[in-house]
Amino acid sequence: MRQITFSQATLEAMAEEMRRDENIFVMGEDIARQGGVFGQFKGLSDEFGDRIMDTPISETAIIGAAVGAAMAGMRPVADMHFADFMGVAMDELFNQMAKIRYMFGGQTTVPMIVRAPDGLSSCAAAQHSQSIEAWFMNIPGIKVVAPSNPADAKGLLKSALRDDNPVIYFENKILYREKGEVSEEEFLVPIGKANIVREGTDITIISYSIGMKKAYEVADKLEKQGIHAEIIDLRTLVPYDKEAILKSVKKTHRLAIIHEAVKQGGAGSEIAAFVAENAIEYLDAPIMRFGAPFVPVPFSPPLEKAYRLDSDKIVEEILEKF
Amino acid sequence: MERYNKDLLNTLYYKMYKIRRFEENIESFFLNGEIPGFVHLYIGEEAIASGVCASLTDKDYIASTHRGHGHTIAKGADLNKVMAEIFGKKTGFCKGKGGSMHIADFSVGMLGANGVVGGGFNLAVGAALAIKKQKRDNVSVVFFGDGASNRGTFHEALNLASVWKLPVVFVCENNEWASTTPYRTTTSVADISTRAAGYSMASKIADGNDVFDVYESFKEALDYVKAGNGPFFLEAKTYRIKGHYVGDPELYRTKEEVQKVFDENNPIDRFEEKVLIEGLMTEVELEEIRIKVENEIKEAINFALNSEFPDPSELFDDLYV
Amino acid sequence: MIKEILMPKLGLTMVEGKIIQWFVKEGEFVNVGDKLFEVETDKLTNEIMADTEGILKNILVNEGETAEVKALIGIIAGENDDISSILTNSGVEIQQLIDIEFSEETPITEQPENIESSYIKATPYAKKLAEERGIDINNVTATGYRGTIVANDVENAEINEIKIKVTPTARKMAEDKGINLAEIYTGTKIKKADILAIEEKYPQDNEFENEKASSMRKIIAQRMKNTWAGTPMVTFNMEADMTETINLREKLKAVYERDGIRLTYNHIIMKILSKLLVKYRYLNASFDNDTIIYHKHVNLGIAVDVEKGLMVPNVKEIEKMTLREIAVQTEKLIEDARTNKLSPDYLSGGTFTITNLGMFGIESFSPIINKPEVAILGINKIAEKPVVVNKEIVIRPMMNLSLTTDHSLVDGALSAKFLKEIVEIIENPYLLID
Repeated sequence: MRQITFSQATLEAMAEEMRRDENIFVMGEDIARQGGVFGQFKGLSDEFGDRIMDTPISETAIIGAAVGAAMAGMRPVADMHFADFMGVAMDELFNQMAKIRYMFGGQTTVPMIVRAPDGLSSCAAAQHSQSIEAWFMNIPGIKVVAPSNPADAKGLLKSALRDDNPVIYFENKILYREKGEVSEEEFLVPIGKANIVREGTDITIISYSIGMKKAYEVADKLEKQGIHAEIIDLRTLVPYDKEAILKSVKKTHRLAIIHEAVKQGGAGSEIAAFVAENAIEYLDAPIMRFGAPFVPVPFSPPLEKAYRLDSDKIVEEILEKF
Repeated sequence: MERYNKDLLNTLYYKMYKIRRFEENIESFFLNGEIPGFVHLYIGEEAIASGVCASLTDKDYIASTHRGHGHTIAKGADLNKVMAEIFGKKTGFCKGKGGSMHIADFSVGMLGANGVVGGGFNLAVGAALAIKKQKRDNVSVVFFGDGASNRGTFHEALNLASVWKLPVVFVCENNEWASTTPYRTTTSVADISTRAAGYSMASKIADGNDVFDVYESFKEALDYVKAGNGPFFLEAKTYRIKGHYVGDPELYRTKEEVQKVFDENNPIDRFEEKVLIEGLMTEVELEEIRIKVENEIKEAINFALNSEFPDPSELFDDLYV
Repeated sequence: MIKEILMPKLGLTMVEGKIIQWFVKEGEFVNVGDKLFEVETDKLTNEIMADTEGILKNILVNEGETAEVKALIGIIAGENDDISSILTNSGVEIQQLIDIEFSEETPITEQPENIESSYIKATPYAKKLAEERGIDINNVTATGYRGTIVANDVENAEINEIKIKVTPTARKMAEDKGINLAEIYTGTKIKKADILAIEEKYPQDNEFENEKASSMRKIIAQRMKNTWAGTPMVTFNMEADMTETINLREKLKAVYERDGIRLTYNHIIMKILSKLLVKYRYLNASFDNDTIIYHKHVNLGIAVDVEKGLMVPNVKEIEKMTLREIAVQTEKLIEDARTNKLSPDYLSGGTFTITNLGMFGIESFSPIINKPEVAILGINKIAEKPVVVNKEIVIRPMMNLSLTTDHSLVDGALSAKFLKEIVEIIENPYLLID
């Protein structure tokens, strides 16, 4: 199968869906002329003209206008430049976008996508490096996806572009360059469905987005110790695939959750609590969460390195529990 | 005054009087403890919603505020469903999920009241963007207060609407009170409309308690916007007769001050006076409208009181599509 | 002479043991054969006897603490023996000994550790597995993180308990000798010869003999411990002049024998009790969970010594019975208990118990109540004793009665009154027809 990058995969998804549905348009900073700060919109404006709109640096207006346009029959895509800037538009995201359908008794839908490039890159420091997906796991009314590879990036984006609910699409900045097999045939990846990317018997490792790279590293190292890890790529954080998680944990009796986001109050906390509530009797070791320390992302290289997850340490901690 | 035909006059008076009586009834039901939550009344500001909405169709959008009953009624929403929603009944517009601060009627282009001050600007801008993209001959109107003009959303929305030349009319209801604070102490300009200039936006000030002035000024705005000139800013000067919410102790002003405005600058009195003096309408015609309104309100109250509350099983309905 | 007390190796697999109890305090004298301490391994609990006489000079491993096999846990020595060289060699510093001596005064700091150690750490899944497979989690050896029992441990335990193929004789021998079958199991059925071979290879320490406690013994132990720990018991003793009762028995005995009925002093005392317990409702009661239950009938239990332990069948509604009926019924129950034919009905529902150790020459003891009953009467040896009667010393057959009552329900005065009345009837059995 052909190999394309994550970034190319999102471009294909956008182009295919924009051809299919003329209500889709894109708003964001630096996306039309520049093609996005990470090139993730490159070339789209050549084909779609004013459907790709450069905005002022007004995240509030971008999200708010997307909500308004969605209510008026369009299917806007709002790019946040960096996920970190979602804070600027937080009221629009959680008081407007998330709640409008429900609080108006289902009179309208808000079919829109917020694209949010997130995660550590190279010394981007405290305000350009965060993974904030967990915030949105606490807000009913939004769907949240976080693909880990080009194929999922394409399939999930296409599904998001057809979903009548607001969807936040977290795309990791490092993953943009990653290549992977993507079918040339049209396909969708359903929102809400996890992917068991490796079957195993001894421990379930759950991750998503960039965390999946660590999940594979850890699983490979465990394999050398004779421990067969089952890896679940969650793909969607809201609604997350509870069934797949329970099924796997009941099989392996151990659970580790890995994500780049801060561990405290992270997605792993929710998953851990869910498993503890529903399957504690199947657990043969404490649930283990691996995430960033509770500190802002530092700038200086050695500090940033210390902040990052270390698969050796994860393996060590997992082995201690066997 | 020749251009005011009977229908229009009837409409203006009907809308204003309906809002007034609706709000008076809401106030008394609330004080009797029959309405849950809290409510913000539009009394004294009826001329603005009525004067603006008289020129709008169901295909035009409005975005509203926490003080939104008047906008909803003026836009033509079914009174029964408005009343039922405020009472928290399942027959309300939002099936009891929204209440007073979140009433919407998408069937008439009413995109919702908003509990967040300044929450409506960008929604209206987005709706205007949709109108433009869909190449429709409609407009989007956002009602907001003097207080909301100090939100960041105001500035981002004005800028974006201006640079994208969107068909949106910003209607500032300057009622002088940002919650319990006089706007003059918190706002850098006396006339909010002067801020429009900063965004290269056309603007006008209207007497918000004169429905004719509001109507005329909005007509002008509408023509301007529909001609493709981009957004328009209309500031309607008014005064909030009631407290910020029902039950507000109003420690920030005197009763005399309020009474003076109500006695001297009451939009409904001013309308009646004008049409009677100028012979545009007769007392009988006004009375007929008042009777019609009373009957509709009575019916709405009965509808709301006799409707059922939502069933707890409906808790999750309409969260996701 | 100085005797080092080492942690015994009780069986092939034992690596460490936990001291449950020291029966002797530091500084006390012990004789050969006296119970010295109780040790618990992962399999069983053993009482260890002293094999040397002397003063227990030092306890180096306290109750609740664990020591490796062969570790020095205490020292028995003569009064003037110098034991410092042993302590130095064993790495124990004198300073530490002082600490140990004072440890009784600072028990609070040790308590949290005890709580921690008494909790069986097992993962939820291990517990679930153990429950599903009927394995007692208490008997599972932990190999998991931080000493936690994990699922694998339960699975191993299951292999140990169930899946080892072994002949019944070999299993019995292994149990008796404390050999862990799992350790010698190679997949082929274990036979008697295999056990003998093992024994040859690893000769057992002859100082001790191990026996796995029977289930009856375990139950008795548990009940006794619970009663001991949870009941404020007081034992009252009073002597009775048996002269008249002996006369009564002699006269009736011949008559009963014609019908093949054996009459004992137990029967007569039971008859006395059947009469008195109707009157003393507080003593014919149960006390459990703060509720007092007064029993309508007297179901009088009698402690019977059987091969594997102790059984207490009870004579139902004894208050309605004649002495003859009591004699017949009691003897039948005892016979049934000893031949293992007893219906379980007779083992429950008792309201008062008697226990007789007179045949073993016991003159006084403190019987433990058979809960939930509230009293038990211990019957002792009849002995000729000089007593003062009418200001003259005469020899009379005397018998001591030991009444233990649950002081939480039965006050001392009441117990004494009850006991006194028993003695009165014994001394004047004509009162039985009163």
